[in-house]
Amino acid sequence: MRYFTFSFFLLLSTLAHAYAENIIGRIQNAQGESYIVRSSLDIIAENGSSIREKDILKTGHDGAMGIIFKDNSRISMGPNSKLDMKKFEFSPKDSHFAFITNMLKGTFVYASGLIAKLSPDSVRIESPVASIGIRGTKVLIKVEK
Amino acid sequence: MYKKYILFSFLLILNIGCGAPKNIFVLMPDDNGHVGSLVVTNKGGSQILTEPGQSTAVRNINSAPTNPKTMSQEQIEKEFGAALGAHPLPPKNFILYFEFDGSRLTSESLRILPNILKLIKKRQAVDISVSGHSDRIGSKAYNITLSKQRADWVRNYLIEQGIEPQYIESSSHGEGNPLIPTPDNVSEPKNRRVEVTIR
Repeated sequence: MRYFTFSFFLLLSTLAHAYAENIIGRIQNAQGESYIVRSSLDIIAENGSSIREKDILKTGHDGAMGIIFKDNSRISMGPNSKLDMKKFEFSPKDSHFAFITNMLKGTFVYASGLIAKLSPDSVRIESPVASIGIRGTKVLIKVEK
Repeated sequence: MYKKYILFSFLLILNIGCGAPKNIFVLMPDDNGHVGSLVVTNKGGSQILTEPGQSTAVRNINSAPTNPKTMSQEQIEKEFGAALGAHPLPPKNFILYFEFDGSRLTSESLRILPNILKLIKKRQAVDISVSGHSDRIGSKAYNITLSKQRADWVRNYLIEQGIEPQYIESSSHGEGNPLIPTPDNVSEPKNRRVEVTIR
């Protein structure tokens, strides 16, 4: 019984550690109605909330928030906005880089980070009607619906 | 005959005036004032922007992005004010240097510690990474351990000063990520370091 309990907690802590490794960024400057949608569940976005690949971020009519990613890139969104963080990989040790995001509606500010610097072709920022390529700078994006 | 003409013009103006849903892209300088470039592409074509404040609009997936038009500060603030207000500050990097073979900070670096703490608290930072490094004296395996000790020392210091452990990520790079590349077994004080990045 003791052995079982021990193994159980060992497994739990391993999973927790592995889960922690999947954090790709964190929320800052969250205000108003701001949510992280993960596995179809709405999670209230607060300062410090972690972001994972495939998360959808959305804000209501009075919402706004910023995200800073592990590669130091930053995205912020204004009210009535929606963003799909499709892919994020930052592993300079094995040269694995990917940053793919879909801006579905609203207003955004994007500032590129290390993935764009080390592997610009790994970055794809898309809106419903166009995709953008960026070299070391900041971009404002508005997607009207 | 005139009625048809007026109706057609009216509808045309309505169409242009009301504007079908569209996407707008604006190039801005980064936090250092440096302006890079922006390329907007779709099935209709491509548009490059190189001047700050320049914008291009895209009506649909088949219409090429429009020619660059400068957006005024007022317009930018009106459209993007909320998003700009929520934009995170750029990360800040600190480098702490260590005495040879151990986790003792140099006296200059000891003096930097309070500044790091102050900034973390000022920003209410929730994402701090601490990476440990060594020079190439000693084996690779030894230096992985050594650099981890250094990173752990800094991480523990921050926790003791009240920073939440879950916000601090620690990593050790051994001798594999030098600031100044050297041949093997060469002493280089600038590589004996911990880098603290505050996001």
